[in-house]
Amino acid sequence: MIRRPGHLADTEPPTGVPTDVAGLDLERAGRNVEAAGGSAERFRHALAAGQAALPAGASTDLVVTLAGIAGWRAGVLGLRGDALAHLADVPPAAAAAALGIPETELDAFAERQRVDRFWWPGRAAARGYVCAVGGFAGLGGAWTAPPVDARPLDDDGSVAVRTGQRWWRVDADVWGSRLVALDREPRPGHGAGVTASLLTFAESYLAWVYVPEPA
Amino acid sequence: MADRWHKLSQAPTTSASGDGTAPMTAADLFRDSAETVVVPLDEKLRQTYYWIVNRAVISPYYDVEFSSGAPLAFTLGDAGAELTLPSEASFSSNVLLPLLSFAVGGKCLLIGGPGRGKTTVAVLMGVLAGSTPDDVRRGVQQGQPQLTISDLVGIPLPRDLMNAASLAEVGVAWRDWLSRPVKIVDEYNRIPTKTQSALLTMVAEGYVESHDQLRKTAPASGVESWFFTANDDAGGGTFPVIQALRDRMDVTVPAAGFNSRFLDELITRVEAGEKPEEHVPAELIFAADEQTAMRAAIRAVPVPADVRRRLEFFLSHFEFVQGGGRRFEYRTKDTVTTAGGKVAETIEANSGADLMADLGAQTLNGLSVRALQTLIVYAKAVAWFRGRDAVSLADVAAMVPFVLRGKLLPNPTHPRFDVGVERELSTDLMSWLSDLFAESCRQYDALGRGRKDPVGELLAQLDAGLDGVSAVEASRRLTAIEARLRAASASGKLYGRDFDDLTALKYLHQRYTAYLRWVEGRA
Repeated sequence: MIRRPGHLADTEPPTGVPTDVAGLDLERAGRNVEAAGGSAERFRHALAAGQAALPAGASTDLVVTLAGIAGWRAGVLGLRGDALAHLADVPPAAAAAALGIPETELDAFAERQRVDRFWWPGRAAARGYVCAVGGFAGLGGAWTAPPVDARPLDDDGSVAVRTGQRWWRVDADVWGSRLVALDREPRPGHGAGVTASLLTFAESYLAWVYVPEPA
Repeated sequence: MADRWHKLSQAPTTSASGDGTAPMTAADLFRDSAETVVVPLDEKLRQTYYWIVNRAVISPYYDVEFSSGAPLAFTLGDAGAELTLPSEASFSSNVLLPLLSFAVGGKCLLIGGPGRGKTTVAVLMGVLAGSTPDDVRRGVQQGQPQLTISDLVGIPLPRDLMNAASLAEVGVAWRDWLSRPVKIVDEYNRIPTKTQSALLTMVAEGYVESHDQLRKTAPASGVESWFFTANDDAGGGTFPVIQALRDRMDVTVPAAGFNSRFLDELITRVEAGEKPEEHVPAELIFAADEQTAMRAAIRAVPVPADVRRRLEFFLSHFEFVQGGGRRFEYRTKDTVTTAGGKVAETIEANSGADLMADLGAQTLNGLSVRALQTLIVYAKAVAWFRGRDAVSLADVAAMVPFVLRGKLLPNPTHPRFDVGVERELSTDLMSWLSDLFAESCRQYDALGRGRKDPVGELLAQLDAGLDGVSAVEASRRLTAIEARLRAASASGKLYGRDFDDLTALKYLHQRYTAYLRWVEGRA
């Protein structure tokens, strides 16, 4: 089997077709999600699942807040702070549906996420593996050489890795990841937040974000 | 139905925001643009390549190979066939070379039998440049025996022909395709010779002329690429291609055959009635300013000194032929050819040299400056495409067969082609050219040319300038030059690889003797 980049928390993503809301351009929101590194398709599904759990006649502002949560769920790293800050503003059933997690685990998820951007309820079962990034360019990935020399950077959730002669910055959280080609070798940082590692393997074009799970 | 065409890299790369994680709010999603993502142009070109080979053109061939160390190789059959598994990302030439031609504004000749996707690849390049598929198809010039210059470039306005007092007053209704960024000429070896000459002016000079009127063919970006197709490049077709036009082809790319294992994909397309050029994702279209920037970025990729030196050595093999003339400088293949002689016979008459060691004996001609310039541009392009900061030897080696095919002509009477186990090289010119470059590099290493380069050092001394060089120092350098010539003379053998060094030594000798005369005269 050929492994491809992806997030282990994303195995059962929410599904649905979003309902149009007067005054909101959902197509544009999808494009902006895509432009910010997320998936427009996942955004549509997450938003639709959340909308289905909203009470009838929900305000436009509430849908906008829900869209922020759905955007984070769709892989936009920059929306994480906003989504976590406003999670409580949305009915729990709608927030949980947009995130694709059981409503009963929403509070625990929010609490753990505030200190650990890589946490989700199934991480321990996945032995601490969070997501695979990169992948062979010939199969739709980003890299033309296997990743090596992974090292932490100063920002939370960011690491540097080298493929061939090119350095990359990898940013990730539980739902999304982003690769940025760097002009030069970055200075190693000390890492921030939860200690995550980027594991590389000699025979693979994927790099794995890994957080050691206590036994 | 999901758009099965619109699939790009799942892990997008960008250098827009520095860290790619700038904080956003939910409200930002509904603004005009939450973030402007600027994909680096080399990344965009790679995404384009992979989109074409994964989605558009069924081409599971990886003949442009790159490896760190020796690739894993398997001998197959009993006739010396070998399949290699390269260790680094490798590419399909019939997609990569057209794409690089698009990027550098080159001229690409696609050859191969009918139905091998030559025109499809060319049309895709036109769509990548921002034209609609219909416009690109409309602009394809179909080569045929009745094609006139007017068919190709346009006609003078009948009204002006009636009223004009001079040619300057005749307006010409130029054909629209002339100023497109990507120009496609199908089956160019079916175009009459006179029309080929008009085509040559466009290709070579970048303008077209009719009734005393001129029109430049370059688009606003300044980057224009040409794609020609032909069923072969060995002289077939309705009309022979004029040599000057053939010589203008920067790269020649054989189209790959269809791999029967991919029949399912073909059936899907037939059933859906889909054409790949109608499904090019908008993110892969290159705007005019991007095309300009891309070409500038490619030209800026440096060629390191060690690669330049190996390239010099490779080029040095081919011009010289021992019995081509009497005066030393005239002992060239060009002397023989321009006098109507046969280079092959001249090479064969040279009984003093080892024909297997003399790489120049394998060719009927030397390399033109144009071919060399093209090789450098394409080596830079492939290095840039691979995300490298500088051109490597592997980049040059990968481009050699495509650039030199049709330009460096094999000597059919050389033992390599005539007898023995390598006879297949007489038809597989790409492998022969690759091997020629590899053998040149082996000789370079064996002769230690990379460790010591006395002629290079003497040239560098002169390049440093003659200001303040004393008469004594100039005399010392003259002695060094003569010593080098004496050493070459003592070896008793002369190969093409030494020809340029020896003429360079004569050049240096001239410069220093002139300088010495001046210094002594002033004293």
